[in-house]
Amino acid sequence: MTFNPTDLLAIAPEIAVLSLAILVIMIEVLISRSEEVLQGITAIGLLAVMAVSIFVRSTSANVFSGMVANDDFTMYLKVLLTGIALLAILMSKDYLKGKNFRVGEYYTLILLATVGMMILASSTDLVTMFLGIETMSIALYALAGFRSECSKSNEAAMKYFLLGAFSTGFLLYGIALLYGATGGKTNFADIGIAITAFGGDNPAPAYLYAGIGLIMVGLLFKVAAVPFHFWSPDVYQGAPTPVTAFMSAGPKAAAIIVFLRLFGWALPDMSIAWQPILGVVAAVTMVTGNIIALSQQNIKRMLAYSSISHAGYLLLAVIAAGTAGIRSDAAAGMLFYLVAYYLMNMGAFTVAILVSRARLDGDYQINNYQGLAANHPWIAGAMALFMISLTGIPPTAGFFGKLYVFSAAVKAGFIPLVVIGVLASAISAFYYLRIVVYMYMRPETAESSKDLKPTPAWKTIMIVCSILIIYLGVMPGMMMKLADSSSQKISSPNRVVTLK
Amino acid sequence: MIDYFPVLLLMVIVAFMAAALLAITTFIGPKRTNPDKELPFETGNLPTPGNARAQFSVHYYLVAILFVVFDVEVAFLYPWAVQFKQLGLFGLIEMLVFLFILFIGWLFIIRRGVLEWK
Amino acid sequence: MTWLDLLIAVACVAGVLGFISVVALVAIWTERKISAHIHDRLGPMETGGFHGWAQTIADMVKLLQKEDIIPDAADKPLFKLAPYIVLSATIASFVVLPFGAHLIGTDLNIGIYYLVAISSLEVAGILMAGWASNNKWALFGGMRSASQMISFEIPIGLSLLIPIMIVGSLSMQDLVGAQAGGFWNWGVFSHLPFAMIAFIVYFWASLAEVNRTPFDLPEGESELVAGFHVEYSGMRFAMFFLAEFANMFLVAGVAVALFLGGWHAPFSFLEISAESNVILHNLVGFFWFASKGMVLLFIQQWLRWTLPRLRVDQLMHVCWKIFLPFSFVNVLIVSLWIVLTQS
Repeated sequence: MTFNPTDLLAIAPEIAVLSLAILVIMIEVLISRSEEVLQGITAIGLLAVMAVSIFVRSTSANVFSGMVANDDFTMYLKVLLTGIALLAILMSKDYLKGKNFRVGEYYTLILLATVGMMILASSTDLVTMFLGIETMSIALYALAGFRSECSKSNEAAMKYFLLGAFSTGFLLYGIALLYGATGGKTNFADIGIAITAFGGDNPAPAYLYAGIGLIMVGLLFKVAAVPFHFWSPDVYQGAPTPVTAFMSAGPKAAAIIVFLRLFGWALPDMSIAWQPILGVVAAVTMVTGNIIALSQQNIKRMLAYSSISHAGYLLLAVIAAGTAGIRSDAAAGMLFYLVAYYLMNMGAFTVAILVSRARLDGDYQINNYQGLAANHPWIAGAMALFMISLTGIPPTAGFFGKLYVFSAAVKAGFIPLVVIGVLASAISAFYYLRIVVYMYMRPETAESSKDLKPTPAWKTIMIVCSILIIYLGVMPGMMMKLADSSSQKISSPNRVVTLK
Repeated sequence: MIDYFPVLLLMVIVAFMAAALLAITTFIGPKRTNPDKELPFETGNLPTPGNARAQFSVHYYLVAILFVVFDVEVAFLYPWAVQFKQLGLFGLIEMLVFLFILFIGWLFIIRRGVLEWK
Repeated sequence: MTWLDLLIAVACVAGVLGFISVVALVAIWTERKISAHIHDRLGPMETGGFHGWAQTIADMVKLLQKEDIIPDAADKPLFKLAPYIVLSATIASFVVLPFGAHLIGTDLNIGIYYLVAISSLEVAGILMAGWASNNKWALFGGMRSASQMISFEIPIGLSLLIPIMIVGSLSMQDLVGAQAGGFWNWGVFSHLPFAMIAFIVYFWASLAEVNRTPFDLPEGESELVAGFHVEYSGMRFAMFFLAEFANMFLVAGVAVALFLGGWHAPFSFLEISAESNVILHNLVGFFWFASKGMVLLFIQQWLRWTLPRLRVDQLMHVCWKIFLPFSFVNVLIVSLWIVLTQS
């Protein structure tokens, strides 16, 4: 355990976001509470962090004794996660107006959650993984309850906190058992090596399986997969909408990535044990999420169930990563999928905010979308695009995301799962396209003819998301190449060997 | 572990001593109870109605939360304080970063008025 | 473990218990006499003849004969458990207090850390007593007491860090041993004036820790009758009382051990070296330790009968906005000083 100052470069983006969080909270308490100032600083700071993540990197592959990854894959994720935070902050800009929020605290919490997500996405050690999960979750608990005057928001925070703390317990027990079973290893690579020693007359101890199971429970909770999804609709509905958008994209991405790293890189030799279980979970998640979403009348709840089903699709990539030779394909598919999901989900939540704000009661009912196209062709068009992309119909980014993940799963030989996934996507068309039908084929109402007053920030989000979705849908090549090349360079166990 | 044996012994003896004293007092003390004696004591008046375990000012809760944060931090400082001559300047800088972040938190709670009792 | 070890352990424990009982008896008597003289009264004069010296003993005997009342509304298991916790937490802390070169219950290598940890268990007992009594005054007293004790634990912890940093050990005997050879070597005079500031912060914060004036809100008779122990009577009350006075000496003892040279005499010619006579060496050490502790105890009592009581917001203000930053900066300066001068 030696410390090399250049190791700090590997976590420079995290340090930068943390410093930004401290700066924002200090400006709020000491200098100015103006929304514009705080938001401007946060947004510019996050752009700077993006640049930092791309250009400033440590040359060493083995930083902090292999506790965090320092490769292109991680860099890609850090840029993605910063982007999620950036859009969430843009989305919050006008949402916060007129609500009695303490803006600085809000931005600081989003930034702190981002730090946690970045640590989580770059962790290659059980300890850093736990650290990241906790940093992320604690900020999110507070964010979920940020509308303190609203009982739904309080309920969301309470549910999220209690269940989250509970799942953390599972995760921690799992970590402890894994640590014990592998003879005191916490590093993913070391765990992978320790596990190869089992087999033959040296069978893996039963508590190794228990540990893997418990870690799985903890992580499945964080990605909101069935049967650990019960918190997510209530939390998504109660939390402030920009936070919901942030939560559905960021933490899910970070958790699924650590899932991939841990199971694909540390535990591939145990894949006989966990692949079938995860396969069942993924199938149930895809089907259940989509079927329950059919009956939702509230768009936030509908998107919550939709996000559950997308967790199921993402799990396919994790499962595929357990098969040797498919790992980097699966990782690349997941990277592409995460970008696509992030764009379409953020866009959909932005439209949801716009539509609900025009109503006096700020309601999120799906009925509000009736006849939207007549008065707001551009907004309706964007929403239709997001919905089509979420369904996975070409030529949108969502289609290629699914295509890459499914093809990785096919290569790994999970054809029944892919069939279930395709069928589940067909089910999802009913509720995604229902909104399109409402917008274009229903007569307009007094509510939907109101002026939605999209502010520049919201317009920017919708335009950027739409353009990128179409771009990735028409020309996925460049993004895919990026995802592919960064997944090729993911730190593999053979590179970080620290046997004693 | 033998260092800790007197601690255990002391705990046992104290418990015994206290139990013995209580035994003596129940043995020689009077036992004349009546309903008035069993009421909560409120300076001789009849107790004011309502449960004693009512809701409390949230400030106590906040103080408890702050205690957890800062006491854990002090607990971290102890091992550092024993070793910091060996850790040298590097350890000091690490601790300064830690304390700086904590100081920001402290400044925040002060400015936020968490400790203003109204 | 041999029988000799066991015997020594028993002897140490018996010594600690005996010392606590004597200190409590004396302290209660001095408290009465000091308060009386500050009030221009005489205090107890009858019992035992000379200035009522046996008053406390008589009180103890009286308390033994009292009825053991447990109110109907009380939460009985907790109500019964609370005095045990308070008393054993206090007494268990004494086990690491160095009364002499060899007069120590057990010289743990984490001595002071253990002491801080165990003595804070007391809060649980006090909160338990306040809650279990099911009495509004008791609950108020318990809550106030808990919030005040936990708040002041932080400046205490931070100011105790200063001698620990200077010596580089958590063992009580190491901490005392580093202060040998005259009062100018005492902890309080090293790294002037920072250790002095730490000592002052510690002393004031420890007053709050033991609920003494000017921080005696939890017991404020005029507002809360008696605070968390209002429902307790007879022997159970006596246990709280004993714990309170034992605690007063405990915080004084910690101050003596860490800042005021422990069992070392102010001038080294007033000590008897361990080589010439181990027993006398220890006895003289004990004398110095106990006398320094008693002086601090006297100051505590003196302050109690001189100063008015603070309000709860002033209390929090003192702790969080004055003591805390002061001790923080103090720790930083001392650590910088040590690191920069050693290289």
